[in-house]
Amino acid sequence: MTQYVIRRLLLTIPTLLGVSLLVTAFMRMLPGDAVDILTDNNGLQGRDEVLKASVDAGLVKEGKNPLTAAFQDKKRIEDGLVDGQLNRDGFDPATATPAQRDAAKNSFARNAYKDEIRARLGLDKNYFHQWFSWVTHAMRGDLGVTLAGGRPIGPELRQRIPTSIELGLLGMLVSLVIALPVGVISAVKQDTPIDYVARSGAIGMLAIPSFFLATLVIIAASRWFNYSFPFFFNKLWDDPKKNLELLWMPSVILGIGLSGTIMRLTRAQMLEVLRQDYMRTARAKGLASHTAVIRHGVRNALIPVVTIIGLQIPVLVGGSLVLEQIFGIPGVARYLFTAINNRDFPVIIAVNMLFAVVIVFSNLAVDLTYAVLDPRIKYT
Amino acid sequence: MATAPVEMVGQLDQFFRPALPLPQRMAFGTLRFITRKPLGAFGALMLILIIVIGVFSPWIAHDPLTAQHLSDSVQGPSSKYWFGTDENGRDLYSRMVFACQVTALVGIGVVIFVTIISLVVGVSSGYFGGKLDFIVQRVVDIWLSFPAIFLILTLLAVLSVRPGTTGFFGLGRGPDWGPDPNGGPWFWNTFPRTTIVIFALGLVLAGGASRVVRSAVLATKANPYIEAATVLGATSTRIILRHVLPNIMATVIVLATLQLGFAILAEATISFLGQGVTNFPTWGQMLSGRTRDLAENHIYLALFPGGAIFLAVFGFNMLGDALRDVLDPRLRGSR
Repeated sequence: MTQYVIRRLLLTIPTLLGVSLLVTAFMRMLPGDAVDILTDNNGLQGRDEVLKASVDAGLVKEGKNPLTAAFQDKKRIEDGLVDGQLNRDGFDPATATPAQRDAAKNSFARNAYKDEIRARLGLDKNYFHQWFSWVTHAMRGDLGVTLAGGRPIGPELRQRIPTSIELGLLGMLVSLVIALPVGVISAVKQDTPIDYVARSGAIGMLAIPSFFLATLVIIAASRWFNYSFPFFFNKLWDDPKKNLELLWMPSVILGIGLSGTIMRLTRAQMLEVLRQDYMRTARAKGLASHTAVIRHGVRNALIPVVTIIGLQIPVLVGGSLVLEQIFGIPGVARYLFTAINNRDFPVIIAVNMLFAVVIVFSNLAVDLTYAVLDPRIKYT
Repeated sequence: MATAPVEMVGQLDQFFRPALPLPQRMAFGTLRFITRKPLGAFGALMLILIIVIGVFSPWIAHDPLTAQHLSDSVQGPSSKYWFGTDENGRDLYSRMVFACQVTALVGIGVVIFVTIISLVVGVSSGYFGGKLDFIVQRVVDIWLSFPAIFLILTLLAVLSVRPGTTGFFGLGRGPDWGPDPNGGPWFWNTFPRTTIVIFALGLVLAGGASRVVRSAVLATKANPYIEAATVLGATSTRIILRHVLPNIMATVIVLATLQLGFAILAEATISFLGQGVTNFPTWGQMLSGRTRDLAENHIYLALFPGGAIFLAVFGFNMLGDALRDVLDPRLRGSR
């Protein structure tokens, strides 16, 4: 067993390294980097201040005065480098008209500016260099700063992680509260109307898109109950009542989405267990039907259910994105979504790695729990 | 048994009804499926309906793709506008009919893509085993370590292109290549986006599917007839094509049907988030943006597209369940 745990722990290392390599590779493939998006007119609008702040932050970090540095850039450009740009644009520097000179100056300034920012943000380095520097920094607990704005990522994540965990745990709780009793009853009453309703209901829960359900709930609340969900988010430890007022409904919707799968598995496992010899023995020795089901049946049926709970974590993360988006909850998923849209590489890598760590270790935890719960399983 | 007397063989005939011709057998089979699994048949009906409506959408829809009735914006369902109109005065019914194209094409495309990838990965990993299996499974580990929705969103961002760029492997070259994006009521006019969505969804769903295929291959490989074929000197290719594939086909078909539901749900979700197919009406897109504010007083705006997604995914899951019961008794009750 110890050997198995060690082997599994060692296997997580290449998996996580692989994930980080892959995410970095994706980032390299993204058409247009953050600098393009920040500077281009056809990119996101209104980012000039953010861009300026990030460039200034970089300059200050290097010990330069942003104002003089910008001036030096300008001077250098005007000191003849325009000629090179003119050549590149297909003009002869000697005979260029003033208008062409101006255009060349603008074009050069723009490209030089972009390259300057790229160099400052480390985007001009090659793929492995970027990857290696990210991994070594991450191991020291430094997740870097966002490209837009230069805000540190670590503290931002620390703010958001508790919220996401709260939403996930509440959602899981709701799904278990729904799924386990319904699954057990559905199995005990196999092939009765109760069973059919429960099974169709489970597939219905799998099939209903969470954004549709959330929309309907918000409409129903405002229409018939004259209630609207709070617009502002409060942290759990600041104001638990207001926090739960916002989070309870997303948790229920998240739980409903998850409960379909868990219910179906619970039912299937329960059916399996009900046919076992020890169930017949329990009934034969005179145990009441429900005592036998609960004490001997449910405990054995739940072992594979533990597995599926662990495997639901990626679904949980994905489901929470839509709900965080609709209900305005500042969770980790939404942070990543914004980062993908803004091509903010350090954030994308950091959050994807965070999710990968959570998923890999929850899988490991599931396997180990499985071994503890079911002594028949031997790991080597 | 090899030497049964001739007269006995003649008597045996009365116990066996002669086989019906194939069309009749298929008709009876279908009828039996409908009576035994009505909800599964409902799912099959949904699939056929979506494909047929998608194929004939320009004739079924009341309005052309880009028609607007600005004086009639946000009207409730009526005899003129069956499902009402949205804030831009577009007929919701016509848009939903056009959106069937997206649902059908993305659903079927993703299923084909997932089936091919998961078969290649799962069969090679499961059948050959050993070092190859170990390495492939570690890659699948990495594959499954991403939350699906983010892998989809990242892949969409990786694969999509902006004007002036060629994108990933030149996959989307924009207007100069492929059909005119502004022309006609057909979904394939949005060609680069279509491929990108299908590619991204397919890659993500294939990871989990390959695990299922692998375990089915492992179960099949344990059978004595595989060993017998090996002893007889059959090549790996022959064993895979003649013995392994036919035996895992039931699992693959069931898996494909269930993936259809997942794919459509995922497509709706990314459309809702404003990604995916953005230049053609889709059901998920109709629920996003201003619709959510307007739907407070005009609930039909959310009800019709949302209900369509729900019914489609519900039907496909039911179909998958029913097919599993019929085709693959070993899997009955699992999941």
